[in-house]
Amino acid sequence: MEHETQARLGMSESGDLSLKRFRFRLYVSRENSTADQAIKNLGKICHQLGLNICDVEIIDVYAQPNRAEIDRVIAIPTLIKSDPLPVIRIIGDLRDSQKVLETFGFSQEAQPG
Amino acid sequence: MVEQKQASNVTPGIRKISTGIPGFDLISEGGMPEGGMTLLSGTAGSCKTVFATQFLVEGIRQFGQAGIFVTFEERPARIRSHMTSLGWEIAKFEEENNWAFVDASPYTDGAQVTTGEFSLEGLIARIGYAIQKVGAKRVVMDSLGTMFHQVMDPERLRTELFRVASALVNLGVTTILTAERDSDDSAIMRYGVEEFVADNVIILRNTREIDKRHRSVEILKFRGTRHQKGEFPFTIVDKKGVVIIPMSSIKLQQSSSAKRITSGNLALDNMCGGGLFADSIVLISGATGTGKTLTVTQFLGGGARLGERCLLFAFEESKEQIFRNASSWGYDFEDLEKKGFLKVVCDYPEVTSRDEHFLNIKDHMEAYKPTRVAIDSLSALERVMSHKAFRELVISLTCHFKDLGVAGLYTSTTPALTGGSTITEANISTITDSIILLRYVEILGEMRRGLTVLKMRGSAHNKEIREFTIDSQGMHIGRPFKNLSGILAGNPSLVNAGQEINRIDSLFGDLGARNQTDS
Repeated sequence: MEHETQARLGMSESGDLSLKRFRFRLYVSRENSTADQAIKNLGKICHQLGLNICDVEIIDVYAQPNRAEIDRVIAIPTLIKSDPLPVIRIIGDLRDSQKVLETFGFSQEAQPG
Repeated sequence: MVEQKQASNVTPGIRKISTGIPGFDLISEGGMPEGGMTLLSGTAGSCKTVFATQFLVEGIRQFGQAGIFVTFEERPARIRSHMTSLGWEIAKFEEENNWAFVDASPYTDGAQVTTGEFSLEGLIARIGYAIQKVGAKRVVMDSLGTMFHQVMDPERLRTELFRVASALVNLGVTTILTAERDSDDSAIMRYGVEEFVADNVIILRNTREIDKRHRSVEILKFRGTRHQKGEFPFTIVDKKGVVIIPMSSIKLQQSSSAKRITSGNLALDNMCGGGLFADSIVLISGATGTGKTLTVTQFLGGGARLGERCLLFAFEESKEQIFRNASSWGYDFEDLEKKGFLKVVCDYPEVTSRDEHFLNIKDHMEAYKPTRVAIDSLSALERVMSHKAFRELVISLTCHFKDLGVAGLYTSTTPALTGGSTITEANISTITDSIILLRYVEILGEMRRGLTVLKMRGSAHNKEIREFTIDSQGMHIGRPFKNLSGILAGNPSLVNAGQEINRIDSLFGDLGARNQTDS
């Protein structure tokens, strides 16, 4: 599955505890064309943040509606950054990676990675 | 009639599910269109949420149909606690797996931004999951307007709403969608979007009318199926929620029973051709002091003495006064009430609204189950409402009495001491089965009393104007006034016999003439 390979792209390899870790949950629907876009765009964002410090979980709302219920997801795609705090939610296919990074608190100059 | 035929010919397939909301199934002719989406629109405070919640609550209580509440505005905890005041224990329904919330209220626990394309499939997946979890047949979405604050682009939202709507239709549930209007005159929906997704539209209103708040419900459209037209009043009742009063929607039946009952006065029974009909409505009209309350007392006392259950709604006198009057005519009301044959309910007409009066009367009748009911007087009620509202009240009461098969007696007070008719009479004379007039008659410097049976539907009756007297034994009906004419018009004059016969046709004035053409 493309989703799963994509999902693993951010998995940690180093285990370096000195680095901040990013934990993401991305809610999508397999049947919706926005899913592929959002996953691709999240990949780009993780590249910029540093692949080794991003944990990404991709959840299909139809396969796991109970998870969507707990996270109160209405729109898909919804990206939830649960770590580090504060929790931030981003709705949409994440096409504007600059806006996403700014929302996470990174200015254009001071990008990590 | 033509319209009825068309509607049933075009779409024979649309079924309705009973809402269980008192009165709504009557005005909607069966309930909500099954499997469809109904838009419930109203201003803030028009009770949209109560109405929608009740649709789910009654579904569970009366029909064993589980429900889903999708909330866009308030958190589930707040809804649970608000509805406790109406006696609805939502938490209990949830425990029993008959109710599930889908919390789509604004996300306020952290930052949320939007970039790029999205759809509402997260919501659809959750609603589908909830429906499956409890096996729901009914869904409420309250209120969609809030979504527009959360998501900016109305165009995109419109597309998404279509997606949600068709998903719900595919799931086979019956849905109520609430939407907020800015005012009762503005568009049905603030965003002009929701009406495209709903086949059916219901409007709730909360307006001011003669110093009182007046709530009403109107079914604007039901695609492909019939419903009653116009606004129907409703009130919010403790432990019940919305109670719609189907004023004017009820079809008036005429008296059908051939069984006669006593009016409490033998001579009056004889004038009526052997008594009143057991399920008929009688109007007593007369000036103050002519004997209306006595007629009521006889009617109730006569029934109670035979072991019937009699109920009096008094809007003019206190209970003590009524009991005192009755005993001065030889009736021991206190004793009859103690034995359970009589119940007297006193109320000030000004205290509550028309709708509450109606519900109050209905509740008392449900509790006491009378065979005879009297209202003394209708005129007191008429003073506190518009003509239209009053007429609707009388029609509704009359229908209710007839549904239950009880005998009803109304009194109406004429403003002039002699002669004259009342607005009450003009408004409701066609609704009642019988009319008895009580009039003062001035003869040679003396006030005397006259009585005539003006109308007696379905029976021959005595048409004379008889003199009567009142003493400690009650009413004594005597002989007809001889050689006297113009009594009902209020200016009696002595005539010889020949002239009187010529004048008989015009004796009863407008009311009499109309009555003749009615029957």
